[in-house]
Amino acid sequence: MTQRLLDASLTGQSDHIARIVAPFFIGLALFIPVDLLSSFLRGCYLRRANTLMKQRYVQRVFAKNISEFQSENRALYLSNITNDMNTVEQRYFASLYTILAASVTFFGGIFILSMTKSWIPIIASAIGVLLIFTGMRSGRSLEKGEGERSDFLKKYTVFIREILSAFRIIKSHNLEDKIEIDFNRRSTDVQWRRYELDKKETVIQTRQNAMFGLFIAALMTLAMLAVQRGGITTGGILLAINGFGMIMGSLSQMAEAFPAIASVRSVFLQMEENLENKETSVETEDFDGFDGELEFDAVSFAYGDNQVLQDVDFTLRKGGKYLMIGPSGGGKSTILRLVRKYFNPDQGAVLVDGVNLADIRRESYYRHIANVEQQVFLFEDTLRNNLTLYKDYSDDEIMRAIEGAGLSDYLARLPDGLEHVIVDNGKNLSGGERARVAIARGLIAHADLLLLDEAFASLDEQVARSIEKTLLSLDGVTVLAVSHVLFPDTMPLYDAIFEVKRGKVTEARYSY
Amino acid sequence: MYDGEAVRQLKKDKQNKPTITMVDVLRKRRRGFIVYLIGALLPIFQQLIQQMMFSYAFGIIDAATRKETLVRIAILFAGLVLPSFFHYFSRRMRIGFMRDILLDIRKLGFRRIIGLPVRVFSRQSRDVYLSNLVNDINIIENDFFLSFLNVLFNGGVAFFGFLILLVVDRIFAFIVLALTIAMGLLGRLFAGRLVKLKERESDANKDFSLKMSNVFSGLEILKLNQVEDRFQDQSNVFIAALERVKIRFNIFDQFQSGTMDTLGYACTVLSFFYVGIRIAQGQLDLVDGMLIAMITQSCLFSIVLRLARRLMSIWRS
Repeated sequence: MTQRLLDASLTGQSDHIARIVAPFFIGLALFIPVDLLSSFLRGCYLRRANTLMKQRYVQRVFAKNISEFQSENRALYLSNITNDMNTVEQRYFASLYTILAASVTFFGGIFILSMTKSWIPIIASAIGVLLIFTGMRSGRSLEKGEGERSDFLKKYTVFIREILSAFRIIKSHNLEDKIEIDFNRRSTDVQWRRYELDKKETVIQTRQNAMFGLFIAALMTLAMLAVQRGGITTGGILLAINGFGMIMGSLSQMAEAFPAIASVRSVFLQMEENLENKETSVETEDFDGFDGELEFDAVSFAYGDNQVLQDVDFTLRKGGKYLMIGPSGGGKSTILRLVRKYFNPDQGAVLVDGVNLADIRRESYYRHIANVEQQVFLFEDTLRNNLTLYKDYSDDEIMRAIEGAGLSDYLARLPDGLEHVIVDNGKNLSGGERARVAIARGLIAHADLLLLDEAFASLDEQVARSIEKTLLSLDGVTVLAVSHVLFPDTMPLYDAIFEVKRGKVTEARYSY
Repeated sequence: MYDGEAVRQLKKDKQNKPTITMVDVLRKRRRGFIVYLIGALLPIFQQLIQQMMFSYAFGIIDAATRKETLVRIAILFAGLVLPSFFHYFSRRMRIGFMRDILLDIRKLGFRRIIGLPVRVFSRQSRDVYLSNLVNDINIIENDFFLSFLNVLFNGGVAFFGFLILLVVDRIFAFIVLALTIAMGLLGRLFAGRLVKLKERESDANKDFSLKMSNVFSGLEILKLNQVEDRFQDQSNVFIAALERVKIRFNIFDQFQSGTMDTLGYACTVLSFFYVGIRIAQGQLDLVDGMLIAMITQSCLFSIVLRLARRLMSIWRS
């Protein structure tokens, strides 16, 4: 119709023009609902693809072994599900759609060209294939660069997160200048590496564009020579330009989309590596409760080359209360992680009632232990659910735990009581209140073994002493507390105090 | 690592204002900015020269001699291959400046955060600061620089194209200007809604990051308490909510872009129609006709379809 309209204009046939104009504009108006439908389908496709990809990713993160999840930096997962998945959305999903849409446009252009000379679309298709081929080759070079880029940006993000996590320590030790110099050095490194990659990309793009230009010039030369020799109207020529435009535009989109798709392969590989479970030991024993002893029998453990524990022996008896002290990096947290079954010892064994903990099924073991951690996890839900973690406890049990954890005053201030919704992930709770929520969780669980990891660090001394006494009076519950906060009046309440130093555990003797 | 030079540089840097404004940063690197501007302007002239060469090459159809045909073919090849080298020089002139500017912004951003008292720092989640230092820099890189480049390019192409049209056909130049303004006004109808949807998407992204960060931080304790399934379901809800917001922007963005493309196509056909009549009346030859049609197309598309959106991106970032 466009060709007929243009030919009519070139010949000045006004009656012919009048007949064509109305159907031409009606045809154009139909483009709008078609655009709407196409936009809707594209939107639905992207939504579905993104949702499935992210949900599948979360499922895999949740399926990771606790030891491996714990040993890796969580910023990696966040970076994967935000930055990397945005990259995948733009460079993979959107590019796939672009290729599909560009293919339709390409064939539309071929159809238009076939109205001029039959061989033109054949040559145009051959050129299309060549361009896609060269695009794929360029993509392989770009892929390597994209992988490097993602890798060093990830390390940079992890580095910044570590600095932000240590903000208080940096400020209290006046390390701002030192940290700023370090930050500036790393940032300079990141920007320069990106710059070097950009330079490489520029060369690749230049080569590809030049090749693209050569092909198109050859095609247009052939077409115009054909027109020169007759057989095509002037309207046909302008139509051919439109056809060329469609082909060139679609090929250009495809030439960008193919390398983009190839370049995200490395991002997928890195995500896959983060999700992989490396530990594959088989657990065969169920655990019905702790009745006798938990024993470290000649346990040695190392993080890579860093030997943390060496030939460690000690025993915890049911109902006993134990305190573990020692310098930072001495191995206290590693002992706690071994008791929590995050890892298995390299040598020796952790025996629970004579059964090797490595053989006990994680899920059955976790039913009988409770943890009070230093970093308290709160989420957007009622105080009740934050305390019970969605398990069934009576109001009496909850109130007893609240009292034991010293949370009664906090609860009294809440107009909705237990149904008060904690918002903004508990950001409005003080450090002490957060710690008490964690302690209440530990108390409510009625576990056989209660593990405290610096549980009193955020509390003032009087409150900490009072809660510690409550915990130490729990009948039949074995308590293992790792702490650097010692109160002389509560120390006699422990059955034993272990000192962890340079990978060895010794029972400390104190006179009270 | 912490040598005297680094400490001296830090002291020198600290004498500068710690507040971040794009103008301050650009002023500091005036020479680099001039090189960047030249690099950014190169593609405008590349496109205009390319269009002129292309139109000239189109005369192959009417070429009277073999020599003329060969000359026009050579010009066609030059017109299609040389832009790659323009691209090379243009990009090389830009990336060095972008590297330095982004580095300045990173350093200033970090200085502002590390200079906060602990009490003020604690008012926001660490993830917000992380987002400031990582995501916001990416936004500046992608939205500001890319959009700035596109504004220069599209604005330049439209401006110089209009000047060429004024020389070749004054009346038609004003018709194109009127059409451009009309389509620009139509584009504004879309723009307001588009900005709102984009802001909602941006808020939803931020909210999602904070929620997922909290879930990942708590996953260890969730696993120890064996309640991870519920939080996995909750994470799926967060994901679905985010994608629900994103789809609205995606659909509207595509629809308005498609509609404007259709209107642009209608205007292009009308320009061909006009050129056809002028050729039929013997007032234009094929080469000039082609030049007018191509410049009209690039003026309309540059202003209406790209420039307005890019200006919005710059404003946002």
